[in-house]
Amino acid sequence: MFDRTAFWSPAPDWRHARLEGRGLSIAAVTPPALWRLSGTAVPSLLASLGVSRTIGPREACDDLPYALRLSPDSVLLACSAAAAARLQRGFTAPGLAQTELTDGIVCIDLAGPGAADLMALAGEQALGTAAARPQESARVLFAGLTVAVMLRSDGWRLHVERPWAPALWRWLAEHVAITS
Amino acid sequence: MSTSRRLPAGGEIDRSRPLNFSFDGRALSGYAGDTVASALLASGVQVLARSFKYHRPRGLLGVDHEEPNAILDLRLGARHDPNARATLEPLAEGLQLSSVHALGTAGRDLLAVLDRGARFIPAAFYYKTFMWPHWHVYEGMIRRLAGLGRVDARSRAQAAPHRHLAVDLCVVGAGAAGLAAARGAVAAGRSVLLVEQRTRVGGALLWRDATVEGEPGSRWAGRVAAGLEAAGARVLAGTAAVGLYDHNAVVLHERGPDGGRIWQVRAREIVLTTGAIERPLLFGDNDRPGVMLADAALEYLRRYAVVAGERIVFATGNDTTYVAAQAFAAAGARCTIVDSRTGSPAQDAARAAGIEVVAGARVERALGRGRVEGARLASGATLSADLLAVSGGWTPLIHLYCQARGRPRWDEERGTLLPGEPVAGLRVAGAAGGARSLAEALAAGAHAGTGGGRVEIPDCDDRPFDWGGPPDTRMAFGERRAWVDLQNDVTAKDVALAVRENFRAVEHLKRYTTLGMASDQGRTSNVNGLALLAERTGRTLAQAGVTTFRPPFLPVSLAAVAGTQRGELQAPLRRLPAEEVHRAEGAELREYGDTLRPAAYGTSHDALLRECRAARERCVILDASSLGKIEVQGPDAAALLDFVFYTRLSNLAPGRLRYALALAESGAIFDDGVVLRVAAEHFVVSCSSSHVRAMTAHLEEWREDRFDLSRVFVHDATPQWATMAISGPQSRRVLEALALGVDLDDAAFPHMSAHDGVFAGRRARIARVSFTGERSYEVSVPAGLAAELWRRARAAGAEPLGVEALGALRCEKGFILVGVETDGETMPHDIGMGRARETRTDAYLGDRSLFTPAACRSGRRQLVGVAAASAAPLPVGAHALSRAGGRRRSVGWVTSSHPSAALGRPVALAMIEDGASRHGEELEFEHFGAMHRGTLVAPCFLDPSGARLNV
Repeated sequence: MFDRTAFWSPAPDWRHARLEGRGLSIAAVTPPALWRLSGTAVPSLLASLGVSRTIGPREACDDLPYALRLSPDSVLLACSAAAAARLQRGFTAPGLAQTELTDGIVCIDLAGPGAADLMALAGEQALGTAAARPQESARVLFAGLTVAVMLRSDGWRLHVERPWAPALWRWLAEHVAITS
Repeated sequence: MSTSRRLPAGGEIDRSRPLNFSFDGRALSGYAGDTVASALLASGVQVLARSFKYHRPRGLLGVDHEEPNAILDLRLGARHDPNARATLEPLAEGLQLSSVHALGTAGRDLLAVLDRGARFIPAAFYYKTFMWPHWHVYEGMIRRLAGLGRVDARSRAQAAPHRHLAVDLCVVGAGAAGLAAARGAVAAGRSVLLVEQRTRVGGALLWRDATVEGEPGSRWAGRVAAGLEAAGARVLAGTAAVGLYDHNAVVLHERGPDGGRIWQVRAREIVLTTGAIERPLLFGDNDRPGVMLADAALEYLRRYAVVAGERIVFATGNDTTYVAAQAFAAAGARCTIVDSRTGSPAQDAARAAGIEVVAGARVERALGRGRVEGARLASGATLSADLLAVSGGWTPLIHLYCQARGRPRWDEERGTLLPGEPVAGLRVAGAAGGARSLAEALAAGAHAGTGGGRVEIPDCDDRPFDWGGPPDTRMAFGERRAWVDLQNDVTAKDVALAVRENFRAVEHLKRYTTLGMASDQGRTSNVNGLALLAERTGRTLAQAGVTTFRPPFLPVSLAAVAGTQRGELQAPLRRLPAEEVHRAEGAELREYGDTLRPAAYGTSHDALLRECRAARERCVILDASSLGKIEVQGPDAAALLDFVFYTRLSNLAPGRLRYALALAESGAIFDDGVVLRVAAEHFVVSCSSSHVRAMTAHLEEWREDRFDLSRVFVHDATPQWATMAISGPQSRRVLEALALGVDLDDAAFPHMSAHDGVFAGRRARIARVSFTGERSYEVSVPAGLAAELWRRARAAGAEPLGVEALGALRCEKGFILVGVETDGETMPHDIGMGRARETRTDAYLGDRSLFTPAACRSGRRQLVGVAAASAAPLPVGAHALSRAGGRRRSVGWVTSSHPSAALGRPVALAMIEDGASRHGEELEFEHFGAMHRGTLVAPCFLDPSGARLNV
């Protein structure tokens, strides 16, 4: 049999995963709750949770709760456990579909002056340019993977589906070590 | 240090930094700032390589990327490049250079004898000779005799990661026009990237005399570039634009150690100021070492202080060569100009400067054996020379324009191809656009950069540019062969041969002779080849046509293309949330589609049989987390699923599951899976592991196409859940031990139903669904609890099951795997699921395709089981044979084949023509010449009644 166990490096322990280098500090973080919300009733639900706007990849945000724009009628909500207690799985009201993704998304923070340069290595879009674009999706190609990105005051937060998170971490580890 | 060709002063080289290198074992030296080519030329090395087919000695023709001959094997430390281009490679300390594919050295190649038999191996000889008994007998030898460098499999290149950049304007080419364009764009407030293939900006300003804005052109170029960078523009020297793609995507290759670096650039607009290159002349033995392009010789003189010859004959038909002649005369060389024209002001000025001019004359052939020793003119006169500097006119570099689907046009007055109709988002300026003078180039560049805004045009001492007119073919068919494409060893006589054999279209000429197909993409040969084709076919050059230029413009190493996408990063995989426990259990992990999964727990073949026995006799656990879990929600969820799936789902009760097929519009099976109805307006679609993204996109596409977007939504929840399939006669006992808070009595929990439970304080979903044919439960928990669920189930007695054993178990049951049993043509009725086709009357995806004549004909391949006649499993892919009418024909093939621990004999599935009506028939199966026998049977080998589901 063809054993590929040694070829693929093990996934990191997300509780302790950290990388340093290239002017960056990289760590996995755990928002208390992550939900996918879709439908015409999403804006009013977000307002009731204290989220006044949805954000794309060029609008900065540091604190919970926040809602990343995935498509014209769908967001990824990050919120506290208390706020999440008010959410319900399924199609619970006209224009509102809700799916929990708390275990399904790994969040990785890139913090430090090297963040912009790393983003330029990873993605095609010049996300460093300041002007926000209405309705732009936060979902971009980052290192060849589909990632929802959020601009922060100290860098970026990446939201990647859990099965792809080890691949993304491997890419980050490789590129943090490259100095050119 | 003294070299035979180096001037004592001048040039851009740093004489305080000598560098030592070797070529074919000979120790040589040069200076920092040299290229390998300039250092070799300065050292008096004239024979650098052997030609592709005839192994003729070859020297430098050019100075930059147009150079067709000087391709060398390069080693420096761990770096190895089997096809390094001497004109582009910077000289470095310790470089070890070797000639490529010579038997011996470039100076002494034992294979040079091939040239004596040249008449037997003209262009396309391999289509007519070396045929008996078949071509492959000779192919290996012929390939070894031809070709370029050999890869050293031990070498490892470590290229840099790709970089991405988005700009308003990308200017390709930092000569006069390009610098003017970039400066104008920056002044207009645009973000600018300026790319220059040479190591310094300036283009021809670096070696041709010019004054721009009151200073020497080369100094002006440096000042402008510094100003651009100070203003925030990015200037990349030593970087070539190698490809231009849709939507103004430009791929750059920045040269560097190993493979260099790829830049992926998006530009709102692109300006091409890529200049023009000189064409060689066509005359006998024009490939001799010592025949060089005149402008290249001038660049070696001015930039590297290398005098390529002491007795130089300049052969030309245009004024640009006179600049080179005067420069060499000033450097002390004895110069003679052979001009095909009979009178021009340039000739008078040259004579006044003491340079001999032979007007109205042409070179018939180069004299000399291993190197140029002189030239014979058409008149019969001979001239002594150690360098023949030639100019057959100029060709703009419009490769990138053509890559952008621009169609070039023939310009008779300039005698060259120019850009034709404009391409949206792209402008061509300077010499690349056909500029006739420096002033015109600067103006065109400035206009191109501002795109219609206010323009500041740099002033200059205007230098007219003589394009030289169409190629001169009068000396191409003399007694000695005249080379057209030096890199692929194509002569003028080869072009004539192709025309005689009726390959008259330019695309046929290209492929029949390989003219223009080498790594230089015909830079110095295409237009000359077109001229010969036109002459031989009685057409004008405009009528002859032009072939297509494709990326890359320059060869790019695969290491650069890969960048850091090597190893694990080349094709990333999805990982299971419990991977750590699988590794701890000694699993062999393997790639299955886009997911890394345990193939088996143990390394021996016995592991598979052991796991299968455990599944049939006790209880096993399989990590099925990669299976799709796509939520479809909303009032129209049922309607969407009824449309997308062949199997009706709207009548599924909440809490129940149904196996379903999804079809493509062609009626072929797209995927299969199990659909759970959670609530009236909430479904979960489980699909094949490697198809999750495709199925999600499939559902989303049809949602957007046919449905009110406010009434149905598709959410991929696959990453949220870890799913463990617990299967076997003792599976219920393991479920009881897990204490999930679910009534496991069969009456309350029948097969193909689901309940919510609790695991570790969090919600879990348990479904009774089986892919093994045994009683089975799929337990889904939040992904963070995957390892805990696995450990507890193992502690309760479940044994690990890998994907390989699962494959054997489902094969025993005749369960298909989409993409294994099915291909792009397999329809539901081919696998025994034709009922919906007969009973559904509502519209669904693929419905009409199921009733086409092709779908209804007899002879379609159908799913069957195959009982092998021997104890060994049939090979997967073995073809079932029919010998009807004395003709051997494949009637289908084996799709899956496994040993069966439960049955003690192998089992196989196959798709065989009319297989469903041929049970009991014994067939021959052939696999790579080996014959096997098997009997067609029903696909289900074990428990066809399904009683084991409730054992």
